[in-house]
Amino acid sequence: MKTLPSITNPSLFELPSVTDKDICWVTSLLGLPSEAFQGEGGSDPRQHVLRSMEPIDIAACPGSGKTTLLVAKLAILARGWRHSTQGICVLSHTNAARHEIETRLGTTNVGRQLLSYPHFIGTIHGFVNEFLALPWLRSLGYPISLIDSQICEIIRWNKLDGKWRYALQNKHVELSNVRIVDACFNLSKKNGPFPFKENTQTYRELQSACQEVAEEGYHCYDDMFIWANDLMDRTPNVIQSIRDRFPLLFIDEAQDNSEDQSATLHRLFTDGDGAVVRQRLGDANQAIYGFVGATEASTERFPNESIKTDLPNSHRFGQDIADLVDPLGLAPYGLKGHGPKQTCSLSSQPKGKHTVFLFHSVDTQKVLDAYADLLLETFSTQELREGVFTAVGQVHKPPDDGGDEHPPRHVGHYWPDYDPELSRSEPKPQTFAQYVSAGLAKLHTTGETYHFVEKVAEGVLRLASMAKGATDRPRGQHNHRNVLRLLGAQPDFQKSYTGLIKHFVEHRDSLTEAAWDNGLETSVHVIANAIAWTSSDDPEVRAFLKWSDERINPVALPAAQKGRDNIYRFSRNGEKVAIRVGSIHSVKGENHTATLVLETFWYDHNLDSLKKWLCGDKKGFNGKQVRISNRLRVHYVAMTRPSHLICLAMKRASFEDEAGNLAHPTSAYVLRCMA
Amino acid sequence: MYLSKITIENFRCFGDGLNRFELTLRRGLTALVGENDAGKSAVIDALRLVLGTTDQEWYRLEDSDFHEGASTKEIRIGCRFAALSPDDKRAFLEYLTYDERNGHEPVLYLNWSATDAGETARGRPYRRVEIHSGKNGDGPSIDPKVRELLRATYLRPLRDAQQALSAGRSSRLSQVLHHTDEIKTSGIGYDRNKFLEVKDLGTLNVLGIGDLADRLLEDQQGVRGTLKRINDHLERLSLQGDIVKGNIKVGGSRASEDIRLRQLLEKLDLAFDGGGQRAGKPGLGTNNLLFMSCELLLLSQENEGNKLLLIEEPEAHLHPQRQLRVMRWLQSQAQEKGIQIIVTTHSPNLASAIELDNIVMIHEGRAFSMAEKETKLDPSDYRFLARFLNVTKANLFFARGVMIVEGDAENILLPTIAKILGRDFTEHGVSIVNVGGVGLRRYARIFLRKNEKEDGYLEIPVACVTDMDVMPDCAPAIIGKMKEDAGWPKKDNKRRWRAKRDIGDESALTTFRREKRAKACGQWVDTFVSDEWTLEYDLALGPKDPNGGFSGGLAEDVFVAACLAEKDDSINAQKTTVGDVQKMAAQEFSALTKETNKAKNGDAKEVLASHVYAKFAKNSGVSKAIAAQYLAEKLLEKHESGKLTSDELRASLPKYLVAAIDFVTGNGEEEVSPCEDAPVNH
Repeated sequence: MKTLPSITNPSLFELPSVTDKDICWVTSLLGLPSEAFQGEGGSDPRQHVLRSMEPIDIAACPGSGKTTLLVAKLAILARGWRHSTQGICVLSHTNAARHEIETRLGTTNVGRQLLSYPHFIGTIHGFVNEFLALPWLRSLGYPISLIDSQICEIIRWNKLDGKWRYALQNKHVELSNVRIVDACFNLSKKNGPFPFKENTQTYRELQSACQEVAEEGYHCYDDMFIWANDLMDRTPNVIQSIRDRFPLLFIDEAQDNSEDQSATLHRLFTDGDGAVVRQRLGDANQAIYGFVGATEASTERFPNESIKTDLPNSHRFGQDIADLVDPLGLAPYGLKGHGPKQTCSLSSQPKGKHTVFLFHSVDTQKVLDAYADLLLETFSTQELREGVFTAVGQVHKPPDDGGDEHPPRHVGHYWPDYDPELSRSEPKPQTFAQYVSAGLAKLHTTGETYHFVEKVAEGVLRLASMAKGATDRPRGQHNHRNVLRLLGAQPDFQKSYTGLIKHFVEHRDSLTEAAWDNGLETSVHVIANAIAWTSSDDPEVRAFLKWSDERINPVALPAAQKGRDNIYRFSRNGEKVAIRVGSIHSVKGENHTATLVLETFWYDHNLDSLKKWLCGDKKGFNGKQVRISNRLRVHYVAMTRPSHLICLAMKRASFEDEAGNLAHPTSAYVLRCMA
Repeated sequence: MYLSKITIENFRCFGDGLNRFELTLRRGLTALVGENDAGKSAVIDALRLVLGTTDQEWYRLEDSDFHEGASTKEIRIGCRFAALSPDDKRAFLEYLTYDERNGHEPVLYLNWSATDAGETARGRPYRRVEIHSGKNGDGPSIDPKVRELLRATYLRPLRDAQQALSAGRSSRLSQVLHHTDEIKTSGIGYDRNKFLEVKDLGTLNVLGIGDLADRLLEDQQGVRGTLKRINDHLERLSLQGDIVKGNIKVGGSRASEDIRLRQLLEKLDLAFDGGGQRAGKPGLGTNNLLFMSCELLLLSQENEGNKLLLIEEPEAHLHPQRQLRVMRWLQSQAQEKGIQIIVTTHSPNLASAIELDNIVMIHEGRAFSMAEKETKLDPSDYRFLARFLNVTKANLFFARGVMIVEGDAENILLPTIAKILGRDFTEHGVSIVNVGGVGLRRYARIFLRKNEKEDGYLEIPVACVTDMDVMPDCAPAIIGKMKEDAGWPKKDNKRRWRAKRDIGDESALTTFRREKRAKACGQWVDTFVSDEWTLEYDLALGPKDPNGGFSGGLAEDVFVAACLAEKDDSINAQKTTVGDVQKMAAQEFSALTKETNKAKNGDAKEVLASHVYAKFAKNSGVSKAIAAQYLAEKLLEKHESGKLTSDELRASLPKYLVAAIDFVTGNGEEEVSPCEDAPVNH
């Protein structure tokens, strides 16, 4: 890459340019085939994406290698980067891009550069916090102990006198649906107007509770956008500083931006004169996050048709799957299946027939076995061992009220042992025992004691944070060091803390309820109290300290060394297959060999209501019904995961005519009825 | 941006809490002045710790760096940078604090701390060092790459400029050259595959010249010939079919461009070119100048980050005139190039060349800025002092006590008197400032703090010594201001003198004296007004005894000294001798004494002293300075020969002089009581 020297005036940013040489270099760096970004006769739009230094929106179909493309581009840019105080900003909703760079480029020079100053690669929240909200909060004199909506809400609520709480609850204002809307702690209610006027005492009591909690250092996630915007209101120059610092912006998974996020990003980077060069990547058909309680972005909707580049060819699956899935896209763009690629264990030929399992309600729990049988039939022993097989549903948790009507309602109906808590990439522990358990799991996968110690320390800090009036909270990093620091003035407690850690590490495989009750619990509690400078025995604290043995000792569970894992194991005649069960949301961005999509219920049975699209009778959707477009997007995600085989599990009734006879409206799938 | 504030706690001489060091800085140049061990270098070292230095030298924390007697072994150093440019804002974006008092203008705080918890690592004491942003140190810790932007350029005291400028590994000169635009952008590289015309040699860049030289060296006939002979030998030694061949290459020629360029630049030496006779090896001072210009050149090219230059004792190895030039030059560079410069100095020369606004006195571990609104000086005082605060007067910045006097007579006499009284000015670190009759109190106000509540007092005793300038009623006739028998003259604009009866009774005189004193009085500054009239008169009159009479003090000595001064030219021309004059003067004085004793009223001593003073006061009066010289010699001679003891002198001196000397030499180490309540007589 060539950049003109800009030594004389480094504040002028010059866009780099990408050469053929750079593309060659990066394909070999990433270990890709040399023609990876070329296409036939250089026709691949990926080339254009790599070279473009204009504002563009890249509509990337599932399996198009979007993240690889982004990583490649970032690597090229980083290699020739010559600005010491200006950087590239890469924003997304998860840290996936960051992890990708860590794993693929982490050991290289460019990787290290990308992951450090002056660049930023992380989540939108992380960015807003680091560059706007936190500096501003600190400047206003609000400490930052903990950003966690749940805890913040609880503390706000606890500040309120009983009678105010009662008044609020009477009008359906709960701790979880109150939001502050500005820096003066004015209030709003989620989904509806706030039922108290600003001059009522109830309003003012809640308002000052929110302010007091902020003064104690607790904040909700959403507050951060309020503070960021407040800073921009009061010192509009900060916007220019942000644009000066990050003249080049990439937004990954742009389809998932909520309106709040889009509006803030628009204001920060592209509103008015002097917009930065912004390149967005995403797939509007896969927009499945960000709508829970948030409004879909109307500011700068993705993609902007006038600057759009399509990446319609998928390397993941063949044309057969492409044809099955394409109609489910909100705006079908004619998916092209160029896969699957031959790998060492999997053949490049799609195998078997894409199947719909039809079942009566009583047979729900046999579906996974039937799917497993089909997998055994279809794939070779080696393929079964090395492929990725999943079964996913849109709804994977039972409803909060435990209601069970409309089966099959959620994933648990197919497999009662399914544990939705384990499905999250990193579940948030609810008890101290779960922290220990999570730490052990990390220790077993990484082999590093450090992770275990960090988790235990995080648990201690969490406990300390529950005690009222505590001063410092876990920040996600350096928990162990933080505990030591917080106990700095109390050497005796510091000593007993290190003793405790030592005990945990040494006896990590024999941590039992007996040991816990026999002193460990007390030590943990005493240390947490010392950190908080107070003692607390709230019900909340007691619940947190309750031991749950089954979670703690992975050795005690013969099923798996690593604890429970939501993997459904099936074997017949010596052939084995392992099926990972989970929610559709949890498999976003993954590659599977075969995917079974399970019927679930959300206002209606999901697959059943999508039957016309599944059968190819309908294509795309631009109607107003949010539930339909939501369902389409979620199932589009699910069905674009597999490279070889799509299966669906639906109620038999979906395919029965009024007389109860099985109708065959589709030739795309094989229908299999459960006995 | 510039460093606008620094606070230091628990570092060396600086304590914590109320005893911490705090200094607000201004843009441009700041000079830290003060006596030794006041803490000047500690301030510079603290900045080196927090910011790091461009010479990449590592400052290792010593055990002695922790303040003795501190309750916790934790050094805390805070810096605040203000007036951030757009480039600075973007660079430090995630670390900024938005300053509420200043329209939310962003500032950058650095909070550096080192804690010694008594741990050891690999046998060495382990100290945890952290550096956080945020006003209260609650911001994110500073990324190493960002710290690079904050490095300051540091020139150590008595630096070895010569070595820094000589060729050699990682010489400072090579570093400076490496960073200049000219080296980076001028000329083209050398291409092995292209034929290079001799006339094009001049177009090569530094690296190109090196590459060409490498090539020429490798291809040189002798080298090639030798190589051939080596290979011939090798051929004979090697086995059939296993031919080994040697080749000669210039060492390091395959290293990276950056390294090769550095190696080439390290060959360069900065020599002094004084034109003909002075060419050759420069002296230490000249080297120092060259060195400073290199550093400034480099700094003025920086576009990003901290343009801060720390120079300890820029006067090192420079003669006074050059010191002045250097100082002026630094000031102008600071202004033009937007560089912030902090110097420490012991040189009154430098101090006198620096605008008072830019001076910060460091005293007993505290900083006292001389900037406007920090002192009780008003704008006209600053203008005045900019003109009159010269090298000799600039001594006051380095003193432990300051005596400010009106003229030469005091300047000559007071040190001698103090010495005889056993309160030697030199031993007590007292500077005497002779204002030559103009602006006495303006100098004193340098030491008066405006924000005394926050700053505390600058605890250096400052004594202004001035005349009461009210003559006894008998004097006007004696010194010829009026005819003896004429009526008392009217008080009008033409009359340039006043006597006691013009002022009124004793209480009116007291008020008059108090008002004179009040013009410079308070904190550690006090004005000592002569008891009666002028220095010479008061010396001749002596102190008032409890009955209201006078002893006649040093009347004869003063009279003799005046006579000697009168005949000074003749004495110097050897037309007469000191002894002769003294003899004559003694006779004259005894005659005068007899005559005045006959006077009717009880003020014989006043009349006598007036007659003595008449020698100075009459139209063709003698030089007070020369008389003072003779008097000083005489007093010293009497003291050394045992004819005048300390106590005897103390008893015969006017009270205000004794009080001033005691005060300024710390013989009563208390702050000055407020002027209004103070007793009139000291």
